[in-house]
Amino acid sequence: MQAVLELKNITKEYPGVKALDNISVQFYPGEVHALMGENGAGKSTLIKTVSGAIQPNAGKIYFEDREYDHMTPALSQKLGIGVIYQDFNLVPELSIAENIFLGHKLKKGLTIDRKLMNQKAKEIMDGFGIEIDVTQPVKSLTVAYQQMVEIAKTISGEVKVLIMDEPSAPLTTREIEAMFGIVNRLKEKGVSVIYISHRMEKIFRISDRVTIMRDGQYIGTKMTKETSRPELINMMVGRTLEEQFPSAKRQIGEIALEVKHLYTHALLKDVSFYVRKGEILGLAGLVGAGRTETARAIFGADPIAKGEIWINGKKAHITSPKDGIGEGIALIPEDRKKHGALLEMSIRENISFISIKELSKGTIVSKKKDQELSRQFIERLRIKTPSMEQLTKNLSGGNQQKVVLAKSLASKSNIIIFDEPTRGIDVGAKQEIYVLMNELAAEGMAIIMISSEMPELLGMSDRIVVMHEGEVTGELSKEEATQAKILDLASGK
Amino acid sequence: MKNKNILKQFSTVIILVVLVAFFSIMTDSFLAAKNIFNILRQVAVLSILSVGMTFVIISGGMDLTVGSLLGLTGVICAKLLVEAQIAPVLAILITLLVGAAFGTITGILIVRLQVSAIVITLGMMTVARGLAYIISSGIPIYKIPESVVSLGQGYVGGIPIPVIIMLVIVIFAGFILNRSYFGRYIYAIGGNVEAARLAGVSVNKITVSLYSISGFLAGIAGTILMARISSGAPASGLGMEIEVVTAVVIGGVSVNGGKGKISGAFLGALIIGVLGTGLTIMNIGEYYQQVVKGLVLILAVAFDTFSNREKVKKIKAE
Repeated sequence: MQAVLELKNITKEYPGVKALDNISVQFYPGEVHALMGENGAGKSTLIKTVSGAIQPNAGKIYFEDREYDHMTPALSQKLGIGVIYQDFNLVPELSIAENIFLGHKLKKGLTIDRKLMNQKAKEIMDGFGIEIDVTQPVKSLTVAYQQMVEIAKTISGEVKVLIMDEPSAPLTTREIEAMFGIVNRLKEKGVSVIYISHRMEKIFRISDRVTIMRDGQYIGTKMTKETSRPELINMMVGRTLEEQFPSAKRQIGEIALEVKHLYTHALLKDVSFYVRKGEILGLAGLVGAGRTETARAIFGADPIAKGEIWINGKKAHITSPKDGIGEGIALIPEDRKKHGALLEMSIRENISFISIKELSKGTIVSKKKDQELSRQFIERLRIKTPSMEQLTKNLSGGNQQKVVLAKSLASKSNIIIFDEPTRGIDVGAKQEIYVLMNELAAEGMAIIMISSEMPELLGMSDRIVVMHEGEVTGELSKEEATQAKILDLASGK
Repeated sequence: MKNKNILKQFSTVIILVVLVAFFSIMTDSFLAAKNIFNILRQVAVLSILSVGMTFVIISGGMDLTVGSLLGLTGVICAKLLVEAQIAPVLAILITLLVGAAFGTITGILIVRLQVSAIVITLGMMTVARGLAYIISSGIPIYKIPESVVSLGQGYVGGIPIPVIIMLVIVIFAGFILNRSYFGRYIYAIGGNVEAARLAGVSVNKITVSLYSISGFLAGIAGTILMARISSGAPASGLGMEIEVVTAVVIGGVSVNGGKGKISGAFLGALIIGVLGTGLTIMNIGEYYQQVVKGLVLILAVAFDTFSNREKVKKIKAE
């Protein structure tokens, strides 16, 4: 078969780093080609040379047999290369339909044909299996839905090569199914899909071939059918990882936090559950089930309409995040960059941020205590950085997550709510977060883990509470929990 | 990243040195010690206002009331001294409280109404100017007591009193911003307000307090200016807010919030002061000076935006 896109000896150097070292890969029409590698492996850089966002120092790009030294964004678009980036390119104020047709407005004379545009947008979203009002602004959507809009936007034009950067990471099972449907349809139409992901099981389900990169180098390409998970992990990390979910022995104690008949104005209805000391409680559900809303309400980030929160056997009055922190609750938010980390500030300033009053005499921060605290947590959470003065925005996703966690742990929280703790984090760092969660539970902390990843839920949780459209639909013990049971409860059956 | 900041901080020093050298060559009297103190004395008011503005802008806000508030507090202080015959200490204290109270109201309006700070402070700027004219009946109030006038015109140990007050405020504010947790909260609110809120920071309270501080400092500056010109003039400080914003932005404080330093803002104020005095000595009229100052503001903001854009490009390339 003839490759639609071929990269030959692509090299990209930055001062001091070889981001891409002599990479050659071929992509065929009608195949789903997965690109794997840890963060920093060079996947994104490679994609950017294809989309024209950056120019390689050496190498050639062949598209339908024509040779190019490099691409430009306009050229790659013209040729039919579509890219769905990790960070979306949506206009928050515009509607879903307007975003989908942003580049190629449907015109009726001089004006935009809004009716046709909305109708077409609805068709695309329906095709995704998502019922949604396409006239609402994108900013009102959750991350998962925004991603669907991004995909819809990209495939609304004519594409021959579709690059999807981490597309399945924040989606829930139902949406992933819908998206795989879309990918398969594109594949049948002869589109070459390049799929970047860390999530093994998705890659095994959807891809035909897998190319592995590590430290800017090409490691190898395998037929998905002929490879195995351990082999891929081996290629990615260059060493054998122990089993994915570390085993944990821990003592489960008394109830640390109990939510009783919680209501919010928007979504939650009669939500009740509890979590005990030393326990990891999984909170499962589809996007829109109300898991994040529950977490935010408990923490004090959003107002509660009705209901009670009991902490260590006492009724708590929480009306602001400050109160939540005062009660020993920590929220590690889903959107790390927007709600968690102070990106423009250093690691040190982040770690001590919540507990800073305790490090101060009067209003003046003790430099010594401040640095000591950072040193302690950088070591304890194994944050990889040359210096505590490093700006947080310069860290990898996994290390940013650790900084956010350190910020909460430093304030002596003992009830920790993780909202999608490993989203967008590479395999090795995921493993580390799991080990940390187990360590924290073993120390007697109560942990609530909101997750859309089935293996994570099943592997980490002692108990799983499942939600559907703002209500708790069931609870499963570790022994009885299976993917099928969770999905049944999550879809309201 | 760090290098870039140093370069930026350094570039303001270079601009200052170049300006001073330029005016020293072009005029005979510029570099005289007497004139340097004169410049510093005039810069005092601008610097003190810049400190408040720096706090507000780092937190992601904007305070356009300071110019009008300068006039209003000056008029109030003069009125209390001359017509009410209140003891100077008490009169000044009341003036400062009025400044702080005005700032507090501004802050509460911003937080409660959730309208942009530019719009609210634009409105409050007009309110303050109107009040200044009402209270003074539109005429400057003269016959300020000598003891108060010396606050603006006097010396301690050969150094003008306004310069001493200015240095104390600048150093204290720099200390607060660098070393106190309050300072860290200000940066966090400007950098990522939602993350700050989720970290337990009472964002609204702190925001209001910053406008109070800015108002309080406007009270101090207003009193000093009134003393220096020995009259409470309702028109004084007209357009001053633009000079203050210019000084702060030249000093590398980002109008997007989250970044900046008091030392930078102070350098910015010095540049504006040197520019104004130098142009005056060169006999360049007030109207031309306005044109120059306006252009300097645009250049400063453009530089800020440009260096941000460069950074974004670099990050994207990674």
